[in-house]
Amino acid sequence: MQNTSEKILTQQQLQPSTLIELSNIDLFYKKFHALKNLNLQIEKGQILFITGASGAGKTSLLKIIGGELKPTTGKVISFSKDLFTTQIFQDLKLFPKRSGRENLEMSYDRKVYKNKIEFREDLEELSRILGIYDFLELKMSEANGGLKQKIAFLRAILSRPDVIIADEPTCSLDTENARKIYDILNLYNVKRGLTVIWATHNKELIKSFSGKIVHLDRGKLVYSGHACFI
Amino acid sequence: MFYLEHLLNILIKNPFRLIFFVLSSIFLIQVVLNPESLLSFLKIEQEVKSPYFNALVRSDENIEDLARKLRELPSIKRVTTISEKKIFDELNKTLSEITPDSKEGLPEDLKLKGLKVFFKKDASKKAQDLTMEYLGRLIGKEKITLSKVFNQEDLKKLKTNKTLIKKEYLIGGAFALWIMSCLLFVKKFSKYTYLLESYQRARLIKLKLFIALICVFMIPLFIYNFYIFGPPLTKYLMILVLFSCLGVFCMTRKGWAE
Repeated sequence: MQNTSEKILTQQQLQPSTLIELSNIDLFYKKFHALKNLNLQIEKGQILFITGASGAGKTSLLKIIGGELKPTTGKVISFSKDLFTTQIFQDLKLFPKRSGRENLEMSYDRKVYKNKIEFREDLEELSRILGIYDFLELKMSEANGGLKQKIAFLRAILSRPDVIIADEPTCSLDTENARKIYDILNLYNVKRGLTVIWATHNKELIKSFSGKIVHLDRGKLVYSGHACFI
Repeated sequence: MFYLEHLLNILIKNPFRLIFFVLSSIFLIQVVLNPESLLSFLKIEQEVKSPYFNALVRSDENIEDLARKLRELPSIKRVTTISEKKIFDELNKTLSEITPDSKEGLPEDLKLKGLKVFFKKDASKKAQDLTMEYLGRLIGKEKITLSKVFNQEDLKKLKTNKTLIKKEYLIGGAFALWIMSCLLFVKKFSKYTYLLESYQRARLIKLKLFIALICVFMIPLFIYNFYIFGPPLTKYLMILVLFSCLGVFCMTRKGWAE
């Protein structure tokens, strides 16, 4: 009997559960129709790439998922009450007069980490993987685009969210560094069940990864499927 | 502790903005609640319109307590206290004017404090006399020296060439300064709290941090004013409304999210 219930529980855990559902979303900026009748389900632990040309509506869609923007019509349903979502902003939103470490410490959440030592250990480990450990004391006003982007990415990941929304998080990075970022996201996806929603232009990068792709064309969802079929 | 820590963080990273905001807030609160003490602290002569009298008492008497008791009387408009040092300097100055050749100053052990008691404009002669008598009874007539009551005619004669400043101008200036400091401060405050709210699981961080700011810097000032100068409750309410408006403005700003 005990075995059967355990079996059922495991099967339930294995079944993908919907985390966020977007239903019949339309978005207008004055007269401009930015998103057109969009339906989308985001599952727990999924890696979802949103692709499309500039102006296709990727950022608007991310803002709607993140709750920053309300759709003109349609519904966004979250199936988890305590869902914690963080974003990697396109404009990064870093304090220019503060060092990388000081910017990262904005993510030290006492509800998540036992103490600051645990947070610093995480920070050190991840910054070493990204190869930025030696530049953590550099002020952001003096840092190059790649370093800033890595700091912004690390700040989001250090807050240990359930969902991470990334708007072009690798646009200033070469393929090797972009792959490092993806590897960390993948690690957190496997280790902690992190759901990743990633808007990108870089089709070459995502072709090699597993995950779902949503392709937008002038506000319309034109393709939804596995990354390997693109 | 979480909020105090982050408040300190904002203070350290934006010392100019925060200090400007805190100082202008203190200035505004002080100007609204008790302009007289501020004017005398800044050594600015005020335009005197009400009749008043001066009183000298020994330093060991509780002058603040006397002032508070006087403020409770219906005919009193306001009471200001004068420090021991100021009295000593004034008396020394007067003595040297009267006897310029004398080398002897005032005795070292002469320790006096002063009270300046302003009546309401419509206070009758009888009310003025009763107040002075009450003060004499409170402390003992032998321990106090009272001046005559300076009324409107005396005041006209006493008018000096010193710059006079109207309370209304001072309040207007303080308010303008405060608005300026708010705009400078709220911008940084909103950015910081926006990021905190983005990366921390705590809720209503902006509101709580704002309340922490008010508690740390403003409440002690409120208590000080309330204890020393008594309760003009409408003025406290006015300040509270002003800060609530600032709070609402803070909450509606989206920081980095625009």
